[in-house]
Amino acid sequence: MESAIKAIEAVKKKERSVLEITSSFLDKIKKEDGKVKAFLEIFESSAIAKAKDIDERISSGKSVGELAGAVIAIKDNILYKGHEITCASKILKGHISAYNATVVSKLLEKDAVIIGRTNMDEFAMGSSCENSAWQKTHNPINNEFVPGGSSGGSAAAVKAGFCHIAYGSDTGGSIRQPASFCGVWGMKPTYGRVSRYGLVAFASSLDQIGPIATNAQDLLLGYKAVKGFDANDSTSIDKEDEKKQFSSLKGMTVAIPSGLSKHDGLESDMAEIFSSLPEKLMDAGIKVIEVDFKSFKYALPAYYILASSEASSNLARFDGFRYGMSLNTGNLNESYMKNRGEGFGPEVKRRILLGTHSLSSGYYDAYYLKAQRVRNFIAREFDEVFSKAEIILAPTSPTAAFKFGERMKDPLSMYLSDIFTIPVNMAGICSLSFPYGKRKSDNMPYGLQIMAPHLSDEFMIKVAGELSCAL
Amino acid sequence: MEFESVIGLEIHVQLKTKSKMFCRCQVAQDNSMANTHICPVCTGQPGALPVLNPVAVKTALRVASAIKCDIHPISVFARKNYFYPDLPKAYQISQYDKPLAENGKIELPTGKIINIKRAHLEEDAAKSLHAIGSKELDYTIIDFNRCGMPLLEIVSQPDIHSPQEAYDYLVELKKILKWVDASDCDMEKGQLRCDVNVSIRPKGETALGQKVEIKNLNSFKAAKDAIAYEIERQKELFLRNEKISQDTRLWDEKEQKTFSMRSKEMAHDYRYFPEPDLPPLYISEEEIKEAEECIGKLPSEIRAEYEKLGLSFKEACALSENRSINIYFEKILSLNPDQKNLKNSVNLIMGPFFAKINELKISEDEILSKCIAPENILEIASLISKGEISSAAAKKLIELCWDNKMNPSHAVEKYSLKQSSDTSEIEAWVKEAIEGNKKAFEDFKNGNEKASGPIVGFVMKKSRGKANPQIVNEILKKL
Repeated sequence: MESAIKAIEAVKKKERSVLEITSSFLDKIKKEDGKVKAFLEIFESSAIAKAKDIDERISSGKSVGELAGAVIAIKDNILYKGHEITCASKILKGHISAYNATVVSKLLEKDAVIIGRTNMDEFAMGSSCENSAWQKTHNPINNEFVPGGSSGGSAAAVKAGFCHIAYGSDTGGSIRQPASFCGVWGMKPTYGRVSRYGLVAFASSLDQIGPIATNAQDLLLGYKAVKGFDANDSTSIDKEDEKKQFSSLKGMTVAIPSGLSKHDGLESDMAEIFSSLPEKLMDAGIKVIEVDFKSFKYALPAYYILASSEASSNLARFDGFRYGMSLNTGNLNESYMKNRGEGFGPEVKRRILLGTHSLSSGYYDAYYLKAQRVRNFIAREFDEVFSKAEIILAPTSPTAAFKFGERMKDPLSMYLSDIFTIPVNMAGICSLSFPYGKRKSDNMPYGLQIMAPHLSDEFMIKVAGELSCAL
Repeated sequence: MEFESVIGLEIHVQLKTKSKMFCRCQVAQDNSMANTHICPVCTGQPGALPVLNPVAVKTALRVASAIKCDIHPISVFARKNYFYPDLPKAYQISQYDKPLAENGKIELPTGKIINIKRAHLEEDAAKSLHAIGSKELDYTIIDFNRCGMPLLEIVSQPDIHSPQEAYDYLVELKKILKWVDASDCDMEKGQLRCDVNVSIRPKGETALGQKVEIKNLNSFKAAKDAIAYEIERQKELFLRNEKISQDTRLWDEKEQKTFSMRSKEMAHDYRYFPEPDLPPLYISEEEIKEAEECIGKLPSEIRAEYEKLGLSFKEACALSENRSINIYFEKILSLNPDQKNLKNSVNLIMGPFFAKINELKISEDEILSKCIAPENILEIASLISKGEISSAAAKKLIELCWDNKMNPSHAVEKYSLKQSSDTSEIEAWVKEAIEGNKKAFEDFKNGNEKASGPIVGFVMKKSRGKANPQIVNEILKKL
């Protein structure tokens, strides 16, 4: 598939019109998304209108934005004014966004065409898209497999060639894990680097919007297009761009967690690939240090306490009174119970219950506070490692994509899918996944995860780009 | 058996800001249509995020500083979770274990100190309406204009021991809040709201009794009455050996009774946790200093100074009642550095000046623009001191010079208000008066000082207020 960068260039050179590019994507989606089911809705009329508007400006010699020619998909939890948004949940069915997410405003200002909204696990809770209330998205590489999640629709859309770049949200791995499962690039920026304004919150202190693309250059483009301080998001970072510049892989120090092969759930093929990594790195002139990461062991349980606690509060507003579904009975408490009982799926309910319990009086110290201490510990551990190494490499997920239904009965096995991605969100650092190796039995892709310190996002993308060529 | 009542007050003050606490919505005016001052943030739309209004913090800092709190350099916003239709996010952004300020105090006019436990920032909920005008609805409608308005909650220690003391505390607190321009404190508009905690214990006992909370008291008098009722109710229960249950109660104004709203079992578990959408609130020393400088002296401090100047407690209170009157009076003090005419000026303000303000219904804000100038008050006071005019004439002068179009000396000339100290003229009037009041004169001569009243009255009438009363007395004594 043509990259976003090439498409933008072609538009600049007037070799192709934005409408042509947009229409070819629309045609492809119409032909092929019936099998993939990446999209919940195609924004055909607004996409065509936007494309025509950009083309008109080009033909009349007016200036256009730097993304003119790029076609974008957004996850169904990012608000696009005037369009429906559901977070793949029945409870939000029919809700029309009243305003644009900051990310969407930036994309539209830069003249990107937003082509549709993609499927996800309900409220971004899940790792396979099977928790969507609407449809199952299939892995474009092999229909029998899940695309991963929660941003499975976005990863599948990119892999299937339905758009150049798709945006997802990553709370514990929800961009990187599906990117890994679908064999594409997915990035979780440094917490606070991309505005969360207009992203329907799952866990506010962990959520971050990020791009999914087919290559490092598009990923960088997708990241730079949406990053930056936003006065509407108080957790947004008000700082100048990163100072760290990438020069060469040679002489870099990379940290690798030791003893991962023994880890529960790490597939043998991945273990093998990963154990041969240090040698390859050294061949490329990179210094490798092994680190005994405790974070990988403790992050998962602490994450499920913190994320669920915040989610229990963030999702409390969905009560059937102001937006989406409304099954009101005339009695206040009954209406709450009916709307929330019927509107939320089982995984969302499980996490609301877990979070509500964790925050309850008498349990707060034992769960929430303790988890918060684990979080601080993780952040310190990363700081320490980054004092010795510039980046850390780890598998994105312990396995390649699994099949539908395989993990739905055992939530814990599903949660394990994010064991390597979660520490990153807990520490607020940046990370991305790029395709690396395949499972021998079925050729499903693995992802390699690169983690870098706060505010070294662009550096990280460039390092990853070089690494993917060198390894 | 003698009891001691233990009372603590929780006050919610709506801070006077132009925009709401966490969004840029303009604050609604009294006549605003419902749901016209709303946005994605204050209606809790999915994806919306709070951004703190720095003016609300500044305003709160003035209050915290005025009630002598320790202001924390770092405080933390927290979510208070509960479901209710007037709370669109299903949580209120408040402060919990790390409030803005703690450990303050307020000195009551009686000299008693009421300690303040804490003062913290939070956002207001929307307003539920169960009726339109007098028409009761069988559903509830919600006006989100109020939702997200900035509030400061001020919690006292249980240092209050009587309904009157609670009342005094409220009056003093309101005075301070207005003084630092934090709120207009109009209870009818909900700008000031009051909840009280009441418990009783046998006198001498140190352990606290079971406390009962009374919510939504809509006037200071209601607070006082509800506390008085609650103390009696608890005493009766105690004496009958019945358990006082940990209720939340409401005050029924009509019945003059408290009644239970919910029992302890129904109490909410608010599941507080740090608000992840907001960073901690950092307060610098400069900001605290700025707040302190902005407030200047407090009413209680000014009161004490005025008493030292020789003013009565009542006068000192009245002249520090609000900023405007205090600025007015301070002007007089500064124009009159030797304080020669102080007593007369104070008398003029306390008497005819306040009477005129009441008569013309002049508001606090208008005192500095719509009244007789302080210079003129001082001039009138000085005319009295010099014996040139009588107090009756002074009162008339205040009327004449109220709009400051004429200065008092000129008015004295124009309306011949000068007091007569001409002894022969006055003696003639006195003699005439005695003619008509022989009995009174006899009594006066026999030592009844008060008997001079009708005679002096006659002279004042005859002289049209111009006779110097001192000279009238002297002549009377001589005759």
